[in-house]
Amino acid sequence: MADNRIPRGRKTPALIRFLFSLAVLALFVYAYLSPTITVNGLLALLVKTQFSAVLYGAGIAGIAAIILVLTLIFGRLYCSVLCPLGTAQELFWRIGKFLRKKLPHLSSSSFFRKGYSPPPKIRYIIPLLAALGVVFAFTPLMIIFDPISTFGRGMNAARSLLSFVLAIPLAFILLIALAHGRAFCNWCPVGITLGLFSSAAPFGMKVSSKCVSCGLCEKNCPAGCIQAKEKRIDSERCVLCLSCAAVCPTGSVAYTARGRETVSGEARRVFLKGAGKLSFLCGAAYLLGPSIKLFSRSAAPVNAAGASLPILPPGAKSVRHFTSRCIGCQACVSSCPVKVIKMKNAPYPAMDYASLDLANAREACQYNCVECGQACPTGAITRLSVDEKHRTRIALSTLYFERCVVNTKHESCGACAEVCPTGALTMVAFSEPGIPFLTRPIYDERYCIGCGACFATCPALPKAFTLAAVPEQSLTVGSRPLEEAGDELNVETTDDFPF
Amino acid sequence: MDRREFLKKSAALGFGAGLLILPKGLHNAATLAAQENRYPDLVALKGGTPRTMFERGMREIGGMGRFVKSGQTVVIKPNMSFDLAPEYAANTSPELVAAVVKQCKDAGARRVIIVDHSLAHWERASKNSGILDAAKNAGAVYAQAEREGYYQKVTFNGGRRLKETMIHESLLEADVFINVPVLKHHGGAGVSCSIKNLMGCIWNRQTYHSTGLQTCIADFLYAKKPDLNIVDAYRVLTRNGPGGGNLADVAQIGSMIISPDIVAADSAAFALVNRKQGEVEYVRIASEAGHGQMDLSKLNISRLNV
Repeated sequence: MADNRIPRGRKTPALIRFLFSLAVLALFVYAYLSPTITVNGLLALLVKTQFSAVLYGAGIAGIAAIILVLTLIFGRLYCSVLCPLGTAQELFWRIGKFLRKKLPHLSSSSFFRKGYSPPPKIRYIIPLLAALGVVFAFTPLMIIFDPISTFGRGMNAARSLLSFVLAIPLAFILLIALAHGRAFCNWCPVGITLGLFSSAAPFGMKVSSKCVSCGLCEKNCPAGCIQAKEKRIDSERCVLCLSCAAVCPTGSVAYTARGRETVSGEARRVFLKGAGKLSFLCGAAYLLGPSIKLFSRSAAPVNAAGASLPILPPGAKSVRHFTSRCIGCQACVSSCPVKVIKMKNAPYPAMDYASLDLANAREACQYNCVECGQACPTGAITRLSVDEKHRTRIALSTLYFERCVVNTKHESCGACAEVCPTGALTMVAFSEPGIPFLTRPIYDERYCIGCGACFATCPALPKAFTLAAVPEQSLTVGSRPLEEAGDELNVETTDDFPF
Repeated sequence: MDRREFLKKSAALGFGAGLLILPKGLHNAATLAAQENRYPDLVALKGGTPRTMFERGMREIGGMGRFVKSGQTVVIKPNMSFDLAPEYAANTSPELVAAVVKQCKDAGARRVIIVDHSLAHWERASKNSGILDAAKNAGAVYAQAEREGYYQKVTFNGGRRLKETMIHESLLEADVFINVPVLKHHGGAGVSCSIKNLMGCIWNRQTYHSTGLQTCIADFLYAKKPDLNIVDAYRVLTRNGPGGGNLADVAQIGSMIISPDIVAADSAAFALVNRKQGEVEYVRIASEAGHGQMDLSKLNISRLNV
């Protein structure tokens, strides 16, 4: 076969590049799936390299400009090595190729594409929506197609039935990839945006005059961007995977300066075309923006009753703040040590924001934990110091003493006060004629941060607590002061033993 | 020698041999009992660090070799339930846990396991309590306890309310079970110490709370009783327990109680914090059920200032 005719060294650059991007993918998978909190730092670092994260991340938007400039000169290096979804598709594509080799009858299936496949122009609507999202700080528009969000949702799947549903896009993309390679990259908002910049890049894959139009590269291009007959590589959609160079029997494809003949005539035309598309996007974003803004205002239930509001991760401030920055990467979901942050269709139906599902959790939002804010790449969940976390109210609890086991069964309990980290719940003497001395919980709203510990642990049925989100997260006065403590032990420090 | 004669002689020989061995066995049992009597029922210590008090106390009570034999598996149950540093006194002193692990290892234990179904997230609690590192460095293994799969259902007789519960698997295969609680205030149960600490061995804590906390705490002793209790009363959380989280609530009384009798250990520990004998309900229930001696005047106590 073709392999025999190709000199060994020709495959090396493609192999190195593939192994490198595979290593990046492996790190992503490990960081997303690892159950321990010790890799949360790695996860935060990885997610911060993603284009949508840098686009939305306050203070690191400069990096987005750097990625764009690099793409403008060197092509879609970002898609080549940094995007986990891109590499995952390529991995599946290679698996698909392997399967076809082992099971030849698959090759004749119409499911498998061979060769050049230009996607329809309508795809430009996707980065347009994403651009609108950036301009008007309304992220749901981009989350649907965003690569890191799609990838993150897939990684966090299988935690619940709902999460599993949210993983369908990733599963679908990877299934398509088995036959069609990086087909999603043609529809990816990040990919299309970077494509506009790479279309006129002076560096890229170049076909030399040695080319005999054998068509091997076209067949082996995961992006479907090569026309062998015309000896052309569409640099807008090329993701620099180097597969073409690796399979070329004549060695006529290489990553290099694309040279005078392309840059002067052809590339100038391509560049102007790209600039035209960009300005179209910006203009449309400007025109459509106000309606989106209206939509976002009506969709955000900021003034709704507390119960219908989602409980947001500590530091997410409010639904408005959170949804204007969240890119749906699910890093917070992965980083939560007790997994109370869940992917949830709230507050917008069909959008994948994370929120706290404390009402169904066995565990509470951990008092000393600030992992989600550390992991968030965009500041949708602001970074809290541990001290701020101790005072950040994400919800409010209500005690119904009439349901409490101390009241209904006249038994000791104190499970709620035991786990209440701020002293919002304390045990005080409870004595009624005819029952033994007991302690009962009392609740003080001033100290409650809504962590849900009392709710999670309450043994009464129905629970003696309810938990409701607050429209705006705020700082409490802190923990209950010492002089207010109820029951206590007396200790004497003497040298004698009391027995 | 015919067959009958052979059988007769064999039987005679066997009987003779038995006679020779039997008195030796009796003698051994007698000396063992005498040795047990030599040791105090309870050792109360003051004035040292958790490690020095423990080492002195163990010498007094017969050394770790009395409880741990070579090749055995030892499970240690410290209190490492809270995501708090040692000085907050919500968890057992890591220095003490390490010392206990080391003595078990020195006594020839094959495996030393530490286990606690923590209230806070296991990773945070075990690390920030300082116990994970201290115990691992001393040679112990940390047993995961954060999922139901690590527990097995155990049914038992005798309990007033608790008839079955899910107990951590490590305890069910342990040869020796050592309880290393911390003495502290407890908003629900009054005071927390040895018997209450065993609540960290089970999965379904809510059942205790919903079916009678005090009774269930005591009833657990029908399922599993520690071979040795080492009470950390070096620092005591005096209010807002069991979690606390405020250094102003912590009093340093520098004490320790060591006893194989869990009821006696709690009774003595509670005397240190001025709780009258029988005032804490679960200790009274456990004593009435015969799990140990609550009345300190009936015990042979060794009081030591280190």
